[in-house]
Amino acid sequence: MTLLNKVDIHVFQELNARLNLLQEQFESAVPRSPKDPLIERMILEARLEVLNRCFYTFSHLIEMMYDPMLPSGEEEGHHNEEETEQDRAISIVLFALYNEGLLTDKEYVDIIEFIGAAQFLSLDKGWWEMPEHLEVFDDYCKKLPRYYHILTNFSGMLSQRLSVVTEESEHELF
Amino acid sequence: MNYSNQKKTASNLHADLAYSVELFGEFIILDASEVPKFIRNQALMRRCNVGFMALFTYLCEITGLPEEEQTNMDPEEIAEYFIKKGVLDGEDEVLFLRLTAINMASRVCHIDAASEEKTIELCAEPLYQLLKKVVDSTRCEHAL
Repeated sequence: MTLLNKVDIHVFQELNARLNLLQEQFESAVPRSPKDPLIERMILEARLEVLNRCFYTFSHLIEMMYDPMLPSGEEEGHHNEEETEQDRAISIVLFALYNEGLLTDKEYVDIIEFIGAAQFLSLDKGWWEMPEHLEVFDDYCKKLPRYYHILTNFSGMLSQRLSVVTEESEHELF
Repeated sequence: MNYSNQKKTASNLHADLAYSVELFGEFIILDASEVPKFIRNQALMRRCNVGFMALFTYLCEITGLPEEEQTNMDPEEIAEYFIKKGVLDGEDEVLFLRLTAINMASRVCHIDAASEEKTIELCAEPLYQLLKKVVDSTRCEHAL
């Protein structure tokens, strides 16, 4: 559980607040003129903005758990030459969470999928709205509800585990 | 500041910026009564962010500002550099810094939603005008 001891509860709460906002947008963002493609695009853009922020907060949360002593998982082929330091820290932490049994096989694979999509849809990974990318962009956008569920599952796991960590800390106090 | 990007030509980056600004313009003129306010604000926020990233990458490319130097410069220094290079006017500095601030704020936690909403309501139009001005003033340099 040492990985989770480093989590700042405020950042975790921020992630949940942003997920709630995304959920609200899925529920209430019904276009008043449903046939207007521009309005549909505006709704999509609003969801992307919130998803983007969820991704930044999620990344921040994961990075908090990084420890240079964690196994990198390179021997399992997880290392990628083009990774930034942040990407590498995140993949190491996720691998450690998986190794500790905090993520199942499916959850681990789902989160890796989410990160790939979120990086593509975020603003600083080289996607610049060019026509050759629109098909991939559309595919990712169709999966926005799936990414929301992946994140809420992760948040649920963390919530459950964090309460265990908190209880353990309280026991140590006494 | 640290923004990574794929290597593209100046013309590619100009096309990205132009496309981004075009959509921003369509959002700006859309009748606000047609869409819930918070949706409009979030969508405009994304347009500001995408526009800023496209602008920043394009200006770095045409002025030859290397990535390692971008990382070591603060936003004010970068704005001054662009002005000195003649790709931004002195009067654009405040708006450029505002775009930078919006982009940086979206990356951190604990955002003040109320002040963010106010910012976007007040600034979306002038920020759009800044982006459009850069696109239009540099268009002939990338004409086929």
